Amino acid sequence: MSRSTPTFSRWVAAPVAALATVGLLAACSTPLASAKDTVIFAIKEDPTCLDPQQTSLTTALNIGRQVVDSLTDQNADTGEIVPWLAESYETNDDLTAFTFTLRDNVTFSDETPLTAGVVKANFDALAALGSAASLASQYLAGYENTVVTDDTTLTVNFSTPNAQFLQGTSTMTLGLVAEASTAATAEDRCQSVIGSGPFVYDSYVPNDSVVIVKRDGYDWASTLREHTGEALVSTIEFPIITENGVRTGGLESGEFDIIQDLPYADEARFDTDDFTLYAKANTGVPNSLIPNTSRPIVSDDAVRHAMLLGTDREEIKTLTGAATAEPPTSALTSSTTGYVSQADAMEYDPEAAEKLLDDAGWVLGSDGIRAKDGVKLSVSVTAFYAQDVLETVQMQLKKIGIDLQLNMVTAGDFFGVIASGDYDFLGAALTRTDPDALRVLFSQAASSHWAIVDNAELEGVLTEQAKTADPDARASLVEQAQELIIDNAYLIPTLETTQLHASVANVGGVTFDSASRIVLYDVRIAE
Amino acid sequence: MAPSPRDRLGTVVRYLGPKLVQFAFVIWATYTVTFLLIHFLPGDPVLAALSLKGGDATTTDPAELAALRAQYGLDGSLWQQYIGHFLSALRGDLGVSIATGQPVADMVARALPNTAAVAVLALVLGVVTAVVITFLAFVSPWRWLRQTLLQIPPLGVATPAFLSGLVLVSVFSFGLGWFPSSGSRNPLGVVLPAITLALPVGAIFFQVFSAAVLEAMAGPYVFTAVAKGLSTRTIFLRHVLRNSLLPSVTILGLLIGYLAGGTAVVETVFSRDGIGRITVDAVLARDTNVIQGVVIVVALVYSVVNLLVDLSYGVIDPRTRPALGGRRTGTGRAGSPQADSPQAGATSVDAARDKAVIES
Amino acid sequence: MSTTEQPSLARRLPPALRTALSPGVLLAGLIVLAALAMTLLPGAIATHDPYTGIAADRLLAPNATYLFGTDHLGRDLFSRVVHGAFLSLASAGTAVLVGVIVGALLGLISGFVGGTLDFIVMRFIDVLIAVPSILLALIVVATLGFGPWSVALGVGLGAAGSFARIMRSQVVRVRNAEYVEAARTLGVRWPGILFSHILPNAGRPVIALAALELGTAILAVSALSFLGFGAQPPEPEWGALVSGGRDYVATAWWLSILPGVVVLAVVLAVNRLARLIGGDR
Repeated sequence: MSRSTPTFSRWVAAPVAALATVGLLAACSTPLASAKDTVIFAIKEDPTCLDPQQTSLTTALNIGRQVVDSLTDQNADTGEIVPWLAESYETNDDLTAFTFTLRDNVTFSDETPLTAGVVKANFDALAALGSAASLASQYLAGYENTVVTDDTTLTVNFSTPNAQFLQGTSTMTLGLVAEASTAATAEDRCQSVIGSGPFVYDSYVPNDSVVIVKRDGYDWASTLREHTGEALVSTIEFPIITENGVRTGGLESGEFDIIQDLPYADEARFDTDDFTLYAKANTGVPNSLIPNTSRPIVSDDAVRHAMLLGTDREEIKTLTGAATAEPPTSALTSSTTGYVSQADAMEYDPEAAEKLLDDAGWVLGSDGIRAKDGVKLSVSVTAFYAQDVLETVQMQLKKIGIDLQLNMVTAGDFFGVIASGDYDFLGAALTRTDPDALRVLFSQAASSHWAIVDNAELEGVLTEQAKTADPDARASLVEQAQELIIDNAYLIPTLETTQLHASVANVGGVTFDSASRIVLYDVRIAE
Repeated sequence: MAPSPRDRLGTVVRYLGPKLVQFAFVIWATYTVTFLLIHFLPGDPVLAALSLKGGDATTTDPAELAALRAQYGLDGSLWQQYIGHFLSALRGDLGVSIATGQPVADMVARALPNTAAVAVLALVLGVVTAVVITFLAFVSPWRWLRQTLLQIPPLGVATPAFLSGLVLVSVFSFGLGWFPSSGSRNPLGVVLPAITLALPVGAIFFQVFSAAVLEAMAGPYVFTAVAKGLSTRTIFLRHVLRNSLLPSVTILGLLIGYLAGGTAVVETVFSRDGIGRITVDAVLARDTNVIQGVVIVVALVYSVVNLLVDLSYGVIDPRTRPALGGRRTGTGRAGSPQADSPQAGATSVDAARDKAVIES
Repeated sequence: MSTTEQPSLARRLPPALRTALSPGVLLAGLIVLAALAMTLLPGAIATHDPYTGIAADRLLAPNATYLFGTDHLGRDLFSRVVHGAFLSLASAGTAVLVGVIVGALLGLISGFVGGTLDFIVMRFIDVLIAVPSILLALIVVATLGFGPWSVALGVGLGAAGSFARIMRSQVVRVRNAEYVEAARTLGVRWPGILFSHILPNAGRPVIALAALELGTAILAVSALSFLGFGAQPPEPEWGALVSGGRDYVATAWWLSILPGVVVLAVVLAVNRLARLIGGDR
């Protein structure tokens, strides 16, 4: 009889429905997957050195982040430090000793285990590299030794308080490499390192491309990531495309899945449903004119103040910056911890600027440039990037009678000029996650400072904040530093740089870490 | 009296000998001149190298920099460095790049095939196009067509490579998607850069070749051939082509030098690895070893090509061959000066080259 | 009785003048004159200040106010092209002068004296030609500092080789000619021979080559600017303009293409006139 069918189907229906429900629930927590196995990420320059401990080039770090892991991780939004390869950590009161307890079962891609001894080898090798690993040596300033207590416990000791070290352990600059890499020469390390990360270096053809492949068995991702276990794609290719027009064209034509550094001018072109934009404001000191106050015209306070008030940061942002960015309003960018706005002291006021110059005796000449006692108000700025920012400032300062000469040089010559002290102004930014960037830039005691100023109070505040462990006390010192710098016009901020990248819309899982570098552990391509 | 094999060998040696000496001298002189030039380069190679890795964290502390300089061996007198480098170069060791830490020989070996691929393809495309256009202009009965065809090559010479490259990428890569826009991973990536370079190369070759063709056309054997009733095509292929070879082959040698320079721009626009690219980077980074290495390799290639070109004259045009064997008979000036000395080949070859240069 | 047709005006002119008035040459002449005008009197031709931009007017397509459109900082591209003529053409002109002076001098000495000196100088010239001119220019520029005049020097040295060769071969040819031999037997001294026979005869190919090399020099100077070795910003040298606009090829194509077309037109015109001087048709 047909009656049995409905009964039968009712019997089946319930379990089927139950199964279906369970199936749906399971689908919600189904591991993320990628429809395509290879992601093509076009980068804008040759990374030159693939060792994340040695290089500070953003392009190289963007690749290196996928190959090494760090002791800690930092939440990009809150700034909170969380455990990663180190299960737990302790700091002593005066920031001279840091104890880490490592998690178990972490191995490098050459199958050697992560032990306290390996971490010690990492730090010792870094200290030996010295200035060949510039950024790391700044994080390890005052490094004495690492004491290994047992296989999973170690203590890092410093001879002077080091406020930025803990945050430094979350960066890939202090990312951990295998013992074999620590024993290799600096040049060999630049060709490839062995890390514990979700990807492994596969090939590097200079001027052409870098390729990384998935690490099988990876299981120690940071808790801040979207998934656990192995990476979702098996290969990431990084073709080196220096021509901006070719990079953007390749994104548009689908040749590339993701591109690094979308020029701001193309932002509108890719702000559509077919593409995704990724913007992260850089932290640290914004792009600025950094003075050498020992030079004749630069030493004149009125000139520097006039330059500060005579630069229209809104216009600079409109012409040369990202649409989502803010004009700078302090000696630190608005996304840096410890930033306090100095907007009132920096507001664009060309009339006030001109009055300052008139009062100081700088008289407007017939060529539109001011002069005093036969000396023209002409200063130079040396830089190796952001030419359009400087051209805009040049146009703006011309309106108040200041002649700004541009001196665009290569990166090597830029640092040569710093080493020799032969500059009026430098045009650059200093990208760091920690407000200690101010000390690196302004403290005359710092080994590679860029600003040449003579202010005992500022010097004291900067040195003090590097030694202060208490976050509130430190924040107040950092605020003082910013006030002092802007009130004395020791810095003329021009632009807050934003990292701007773009991808095709079906790419997911691209995020920034706290240092504005890209994390591709979760990257995947949808249908 | 037939020249004995020993006499023949003697003549060949007397012919080749000076050429080889010349060849070696040019290589050595190029090396020395470059060495002197780049050691007067201002700027600090150590800082340049550090800044590549260090970004804005590059150290500028004088003490640390001095230590690094000693580490890289950038001290020692100029003479010591010169001899040391020269001896190593003879052994094939071109030193290490300060900027990248790579052996220079490796860098050049990696980049050379890329550049060579583009250069060779550009040469082939340029020459073939030039020959075809000349042939069409030669055989076409319509004056307007000939005039139009003759206007194309000057465009090739005048168009800046960076402009044509950008336009080609926009149209054929992003617009039509026929070719990749950059890189050497895809073998098709060689096409657009080669076309960019083929424009000026083809144009220069065309000017020399078509001038030679015109001159050959006016020759008596062509007159005879026409009188005999041979077709225009046959005349072109059998008579004119062969007689235009001499200046054309000459200009090929000169074009190699041109190509070596042109690749810098093309490799920049198309984001390709190559000799031009590493040269520009090396000059910017004051990477003296790389500059030396590249110049030596390019000078070598150029000199080898020119040597081959010189030797090919004897094959193409028997009139330039030195009298094989026999003593100098002192027959005096028989039309061209010094026809009976081994230097005759050299002089008329140089004369041919100069003629080609004027006409290019 | 046959009537002879009155030949047209064109046919009644002597052939040289007929060539000079052909449309191609006229156009070339006009372009060169325009380029010269831009070089000498930029202020009179430019419509705006090439160094000041209006932010609100950035990246406008060519229109009535801004003949070539505006760049990313709101500056008028036409005025920048006009003001850039001096940098580009003067650099190129200097380069050719350097090449002619250095090269012709070397070639003259070498061809005139002959012998061992000739051999040595010619090998040195071989080296000059063996090193690719762009490489030579790069090295010179890096040594002397970036800027239009070191670029001119570098490009000029690269061209000197060709001039030396031409000069030398002409000198050798004339020196061995029969009329010179005759003059010698008549007692004319070498300096006299030099000035009345050798230089005039050697001069013509050298001048023809110089005119041709001007076009090449313009391109070389632009290429070096494109690679970043030229004048400092905001100087609007033509190669620098093409380079500056290449990020905008997709969105504001006029920034690269229009200056590039100007370079193309000037080089074409110069080459056409050079061929006229050289006796080519």
